Amino acid sequence: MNRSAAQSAAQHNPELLQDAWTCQGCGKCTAVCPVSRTGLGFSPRRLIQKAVQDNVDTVLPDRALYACLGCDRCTQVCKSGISISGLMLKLRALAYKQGIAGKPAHAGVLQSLMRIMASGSAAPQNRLEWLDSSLSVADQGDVLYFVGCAPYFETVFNYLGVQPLRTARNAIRLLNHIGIKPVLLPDERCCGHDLLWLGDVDNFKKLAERNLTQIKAAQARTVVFSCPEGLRTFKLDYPRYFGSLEFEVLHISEFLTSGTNGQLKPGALSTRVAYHDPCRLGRHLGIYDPPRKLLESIPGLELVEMKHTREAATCCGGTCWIECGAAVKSLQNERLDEARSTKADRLVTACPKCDIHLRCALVNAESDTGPAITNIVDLVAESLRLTEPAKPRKAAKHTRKGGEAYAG
Amino acid sequence: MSETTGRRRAPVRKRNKQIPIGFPRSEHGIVVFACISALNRLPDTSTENTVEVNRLMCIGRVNAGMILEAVEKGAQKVLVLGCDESSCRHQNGAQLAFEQVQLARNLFHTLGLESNLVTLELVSRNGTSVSVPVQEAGVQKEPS
Ligand code: SF4
Ligand code: SF4
Repeated sequence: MNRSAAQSAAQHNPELLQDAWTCQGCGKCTAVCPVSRTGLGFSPRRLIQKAVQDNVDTVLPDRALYACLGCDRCTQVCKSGISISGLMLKLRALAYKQGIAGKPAHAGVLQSLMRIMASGSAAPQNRLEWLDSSLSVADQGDVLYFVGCAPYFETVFNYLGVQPLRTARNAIRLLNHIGIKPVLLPDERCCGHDLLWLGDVDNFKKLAERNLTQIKAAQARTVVFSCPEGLRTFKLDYPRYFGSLEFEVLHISEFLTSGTNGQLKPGALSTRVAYHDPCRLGRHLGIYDPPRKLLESIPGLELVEMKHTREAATCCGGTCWIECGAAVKSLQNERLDEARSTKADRLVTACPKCDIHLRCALVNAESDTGPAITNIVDLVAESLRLTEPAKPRKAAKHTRKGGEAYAG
Repeated sequence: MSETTGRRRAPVRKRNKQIPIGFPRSEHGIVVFACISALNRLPDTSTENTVEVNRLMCIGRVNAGMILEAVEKGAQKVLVLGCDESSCRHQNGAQLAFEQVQLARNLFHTLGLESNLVTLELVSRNGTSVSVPVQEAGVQKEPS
């Protein structure tokens, strides 16, 4: 669509602002928004009011459109029930069509990867090289494990010392432990979450179609995710574009604690942990209890809660690889401070991106003290002595440019 | 208008080319990211019409995102051209470029693309350019 066509679509598409028209301008959203709280001038209320009162076109070139984390904290308090993150999705899609979507963080390397995956030429990938003979996987079967972008994160964020593939291996080990041989797709694509949130709907759809076709061919009835963003995208976004799913989607913490699949009995581990709710898992999907249940089932483990927890949890500052700036860094440091004040040995999260973002803040922090950031899957595998040892934590600053500058 | 007698400004140099929409413009789909001083030391070549040259202040400025974007938009070959270690004005440009080319190669490998889609060449003081072998690092294997 060219610019003028997109413009008129904005003006004549009442659906676009359908929800926003009920905004009362109360400012509750701005009051709770973690990005607004950093004092750098972002205000969801102002953005909505501008879109409604002026013209959608006036907000499209506004960089503030990309400051929103999509954390849905505001949606919880809005008395008019407005989903600001939903509105952002629509506005960003429109901005993208007009070609004014700005350059994402990390020099766009992740978005380029996703678009290459979406294009017809990229196939087959070498995305399962990290499997080894100790892990049992199948080509077809009831349960499918969706690996997500871990093979790419492992490479791109190697400098932070994150190990998303260790988490993937551990997820398979845990599934094997309860007698399940999960299916892995050799040519799985990115779920499309980040492209969708950037506004690139066309490429999102291409990725989604490829995933759905492959899952169908694998005859899976349950798809298990260790990545909350993948889960959210499958559960909420795929049905919007492709109708309801023919299979069940579950987070691995739900799957391991549901009991229907042979409940997991973790081993003992003496440690004190704080659990960080990822936005996509918590507020987007309402999955607060299964990860806690899984943690509490570890004998000897003490689970403590941070100041902001569950529905009120603050965000790791992940913005779908779009923004990496002062607001994001201050959110990350705030979260690390909360974790430090609980005196927990570890900060446990269920999302690879929380892991990456919080670790980036830790690596770049002035004093490199803080709890070890651990994925819940790795912790459970550790309790059962199933996992390989983790890499020692990076103590020094990254030699190249350091987190924020690296974003390009 | 009264200041016409002031110092004359240096002529504005040609801007770095942005990667345009519909990229690559070059027939052969070759895209070059080059350090300007390395480019200046090379013997005069009239390649401008067949390759897309993106001039950078230092080859240390190149990053995997640029390389991937070029490929995403259709480049069949990406050349990263900089000064070698002894002639880099910014000391470690070659090292930084090496890291980024290696990162891009690792990603191409996982994507199932040819990892030699991108090559690194470094130009010495006397203007000869040498291709630098960049091995994929294989970060994906389980530590033993
Ligand atoms: S909380 Fe809801 S009604 Fe109030 S300003 Fe924000 S969007 Fe509008
Ligand atoms: S979704 Fe989160 S970041 Fe975005 S406006 Fe709402 S509270 Fe702020």
